[in-house]
Amino acid sequence: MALPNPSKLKTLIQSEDNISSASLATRILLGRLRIEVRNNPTLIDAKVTELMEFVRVNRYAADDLAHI
Amino acid sequence: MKNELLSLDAAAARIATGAVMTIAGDEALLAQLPRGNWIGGTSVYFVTETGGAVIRDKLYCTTLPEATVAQIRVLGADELPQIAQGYATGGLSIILIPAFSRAHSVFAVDGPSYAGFFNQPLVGWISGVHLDDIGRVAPKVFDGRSGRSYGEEAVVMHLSLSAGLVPQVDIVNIFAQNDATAPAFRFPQSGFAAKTALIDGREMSLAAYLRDNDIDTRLPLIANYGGALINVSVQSVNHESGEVAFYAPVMQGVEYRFAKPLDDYAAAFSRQLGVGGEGQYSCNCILNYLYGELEGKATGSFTGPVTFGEIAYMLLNQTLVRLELQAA
Repeated sequence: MALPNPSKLKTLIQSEDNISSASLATRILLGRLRIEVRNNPTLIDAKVTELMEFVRVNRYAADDLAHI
Repeated sequence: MKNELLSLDAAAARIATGAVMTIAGDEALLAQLPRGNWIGGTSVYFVTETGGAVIRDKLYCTTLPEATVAQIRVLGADELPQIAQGYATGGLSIILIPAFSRAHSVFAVDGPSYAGFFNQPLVGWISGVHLDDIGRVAPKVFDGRSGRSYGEEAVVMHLSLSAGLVPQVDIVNIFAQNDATAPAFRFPQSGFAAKTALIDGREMSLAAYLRDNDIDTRLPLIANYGGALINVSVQSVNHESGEVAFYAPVMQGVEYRFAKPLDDYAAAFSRQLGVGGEGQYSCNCILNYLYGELEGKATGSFTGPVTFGEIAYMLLNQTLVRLELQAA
């Protein structure tokens, strides 16, 4: 499974969209990243990088985020 | 994975075989167990196949023959950020933390921000005591290698698993967030207590709001984490000081709504859990036990300790956590 596009991850973090079919880890991590970006929007690029790294280490997360 | 209520002698015999185990029970029993590959936490409340019960003469034992290696670590609050350093590739970790300890509060607020935290399934629970003993008896966790108990540190068991097994962690939350038209709560800072909240955008005294609007504080506040509904339960409302205390931290910048009321707590669990709990690791919240009056009421095949907080990556309230080892 290919890694998701960073621009799509950025849009996902900045959205309120649910990924209800994703693993619990992916959902909770996304929720935490959204909180951090909401409280400090300048963190967005760092949080996209963090989500990319999570997907790189946990390949199931690529499946979770394949259809965003 | 096998879940059983065992006598002290039977649990000790199992430990003596070298089995990898997590054990929940009364401190007096845990303290008598022999050294071995186990971790333990204090609890006297359990969900059994026949219903919730207070049990002091048996130990709730989960034996994990699927574990090929078990590494046990005792981590103080200041060492918890290194938890992921013990993760074994393809494995899982089980963490037990004493209620009211510094490790409990630090983990609750900072855990999800630890480096590499989400790179492996992490489940566990907050150890407790009988409600009549709160303030008199401290909850404990045990490191089975030494038999020592701890009241301020967490104990973690990092497991490697047999090839072909994939750990799956999920939560069962019987509550649903109230409708979008219901009041939304935001908090000025993260923490286990708050005096004010932005309620539909207006800063107000939270304690006064709860009283004036006759809010049922047995219902949790719920946040939506990307589709995972995360509860925060109200512990107490002090109208003199104006402080509202929570069993898990509210987080700055997160929108919460109170849960919709339930008609039948026990039925809600039975409905959502279904079957298949026999081979799964699970724990349920003491608040569900109390508010749902689960003592003596069967809620399905998911059995385990009733705890002062559940952990599925992060600290949860009024939630059932379950872990299943699935074939890849």
